[in-house]
Amino acid sequence: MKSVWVLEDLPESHVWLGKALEAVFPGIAVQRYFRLADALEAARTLPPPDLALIDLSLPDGSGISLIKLLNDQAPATVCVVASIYDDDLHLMPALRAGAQGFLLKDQSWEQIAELLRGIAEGRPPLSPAIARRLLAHFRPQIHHYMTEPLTQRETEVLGIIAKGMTLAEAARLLGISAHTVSGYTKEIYRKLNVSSRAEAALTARNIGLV
Amino acid sequence: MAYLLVFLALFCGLLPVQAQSASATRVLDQASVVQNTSITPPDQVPDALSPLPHDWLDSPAALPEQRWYHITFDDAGWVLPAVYVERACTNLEVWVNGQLVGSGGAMVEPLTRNCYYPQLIRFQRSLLHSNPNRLDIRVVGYPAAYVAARQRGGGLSQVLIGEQAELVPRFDARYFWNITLAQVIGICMLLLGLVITALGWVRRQDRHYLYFGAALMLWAVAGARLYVQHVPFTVLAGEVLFTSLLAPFVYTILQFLLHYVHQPRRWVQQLLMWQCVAVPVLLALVPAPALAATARGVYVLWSGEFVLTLAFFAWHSWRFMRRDFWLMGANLVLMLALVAAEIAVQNAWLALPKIHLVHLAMPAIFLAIGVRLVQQFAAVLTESERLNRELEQRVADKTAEIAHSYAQLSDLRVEQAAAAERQRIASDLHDDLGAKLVTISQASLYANDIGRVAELARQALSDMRLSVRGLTGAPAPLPYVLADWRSETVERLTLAGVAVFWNANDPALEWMLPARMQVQLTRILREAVSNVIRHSGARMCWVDIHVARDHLRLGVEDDGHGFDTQQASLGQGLGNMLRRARVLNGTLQIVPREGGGVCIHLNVPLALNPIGQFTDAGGA
Repeated sequence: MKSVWVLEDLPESHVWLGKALEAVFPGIAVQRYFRLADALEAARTLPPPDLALIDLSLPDGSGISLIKLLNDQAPATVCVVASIYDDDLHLMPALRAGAQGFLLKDQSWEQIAELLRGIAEGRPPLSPAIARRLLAHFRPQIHHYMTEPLTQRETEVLGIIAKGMTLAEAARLLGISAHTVSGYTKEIYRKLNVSSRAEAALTARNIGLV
Repeated sequence: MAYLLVFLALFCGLLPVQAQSASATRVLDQASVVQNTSITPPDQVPDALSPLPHDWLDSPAALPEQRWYHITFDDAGWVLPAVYVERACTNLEVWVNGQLVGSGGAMVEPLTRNCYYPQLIRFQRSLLHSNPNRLDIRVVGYPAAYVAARQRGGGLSQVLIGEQAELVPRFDARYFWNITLAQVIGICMLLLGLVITALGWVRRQDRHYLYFGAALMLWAVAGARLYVQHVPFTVLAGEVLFTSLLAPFVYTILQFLLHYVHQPRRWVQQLLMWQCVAVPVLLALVPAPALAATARGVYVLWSGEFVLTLAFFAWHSWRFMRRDFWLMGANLVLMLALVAAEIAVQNAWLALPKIHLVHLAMPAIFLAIGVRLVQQFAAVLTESERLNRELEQRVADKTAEIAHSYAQLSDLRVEQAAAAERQRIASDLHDDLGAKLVTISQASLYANDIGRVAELARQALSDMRLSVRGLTGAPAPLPYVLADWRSETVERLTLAGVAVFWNANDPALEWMLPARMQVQLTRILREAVSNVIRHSGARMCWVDIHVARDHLRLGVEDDGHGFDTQQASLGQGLGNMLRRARVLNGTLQIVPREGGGVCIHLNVPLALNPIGQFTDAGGA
């Protein structure tokens, strides 16, 4: 991770997140944005960063638009939601737009650092509520148009997480390594993004936009 | 209108009687009378002449009695001669110059009943010879004393002889008024009676309809005595039978009057019913010569009953039904007048009228009463429809009113629920956020406790998130709640370096926990875990959760250094837990653990049921 953008309207939070970023990725280039419009402009013109920490509730809009734009223009960029919301109602849209993780701004910077390290190493966080949402999303009879359904293992992992167990416990229960479990979760997030795009395209076609 | 018809009828009925002096028609008003049983005209006739009409008042030699009327007449040169007899009771035969030229029917019992029938007998002109010609009329019948009504007493009216063309209109007119009209009236009375009875049938509570309908039909049947000629029994038996038919008529018409004013009397009804039996028996038992006198007595008795009932009727209708008093009263008084006239006729105080007055006039009155009844029925129906409409309108109004009240009530309840919810949120904000913000504001004065301030602020944020969830959240399935608890608890304790042993049962997915309850329980668990992390110095923590349909048990134990060394600030955390347990109607116990550490035991009542409904027993 060489470069990171932080979209956040509170200066104190910039400092707080910066501290965590410096701890995990020493010497990383941090670009700060306070308004959504500036970040969107930068995404269109500047070279994309390796990592983006994005707040959802901004004075001039929702951070989800930046996640969508980056996901379109720079799929390599890892988008992480940094907000004060921890509920699936707020996080699910961001994940569908392409976010690969989420953290709470009010967590201690050590916790934030740990989460960021996990995300960078391909261990995205997954709460029981999000896992339940994902299970519902990938239920075959609802999304029959889905091109990439979940594998059985991926579904199993989601089921275990949905019961409140940790990734480590899931790995032990399934008799696989924690690393493999992380791989599954990452793959689940990717499929979520792909199916959400397909869904959006289908919706657009259905309402006559495309 | 009905009266007009009656008087018109009377007037017309009298007309032919006054116009008897036609040019070529001879009126024969004297005859020699011979009383014998011969079936051929008598050879010897007395010189004494009796005037016609001739009524049989003296005692008979045999029954039925037979009399020969011998009349001589001059031929007036008629082309088509005929004899017209206005009334010959009970039956007659006509002989011209010793030749039988016409008969009304059977001359032996059972006699043909021709008392009301006019007779027109045509004969060949060739039967006439040089004057004087001879006309013999044979009449069989019963003297007035042997029959129940004077109209059917034996006798012969004046005899007219002349051209058929002149006599036929007289015959037709008489026939119409006496016979055809009686038949038409009979049918009309029967139909009206049926209609009124049908009305009474659908409206049993108004008995007077049934009585009146029955009265009309009985009258129609009794009226058959006017035009029924052939009956398979003797004239005397017929007299008893026809007169007896009037007894049930009296019964029904009097009952009608009493029911009309809603004053039926059981004893009156019983008396009248007995009368229906007694009158036929009496008439059948009295000796034949006393039949007329007995019948007159019965008529007077009935008239008396009628007058009494009428007086009773007038008194009641005057007091309670003034409108009916005038309408019905007029009809009934007219009826009374007719009855009085008939009584007078029967007792020979008045001459026998040409037509049967009672029988023509009564139906007109009945018709007026019947129309009045039908009109009342229709009025009641109209009134009932109007009331029904009003009722429907009132029901609609009330329904709208109730719906309006219900809407208001439900608005009020929503408002009350919202108020209660606001109260809870306010209480939460004060108790949790408020307390933490106070601590933050006080602790921030001391630079050496920055970390504590940050921790308190994070807790405040976390509390706020929970409050928001409690405010917006829907009831959550219990397994989901347990999963969230497990995830959070294990993560926090693990991060703090405490080994967690989680033990919870697996409730059914249908069991829903209301958001408020979820929030309160989450806070208690969170506080308990916070205590373990912050104060106990524990290395291990056991969390036990047991959910049943009616309660939830939560135990948090640690192997730290126990309760005694709790810091002062722990008081607030424990206080919050105790308060929340109380809000949930539950109990919270904090006891030292054997071998060191603390046990926290929470027990709250639930009211879960399998279909996913939840009764908020906790009052959260």
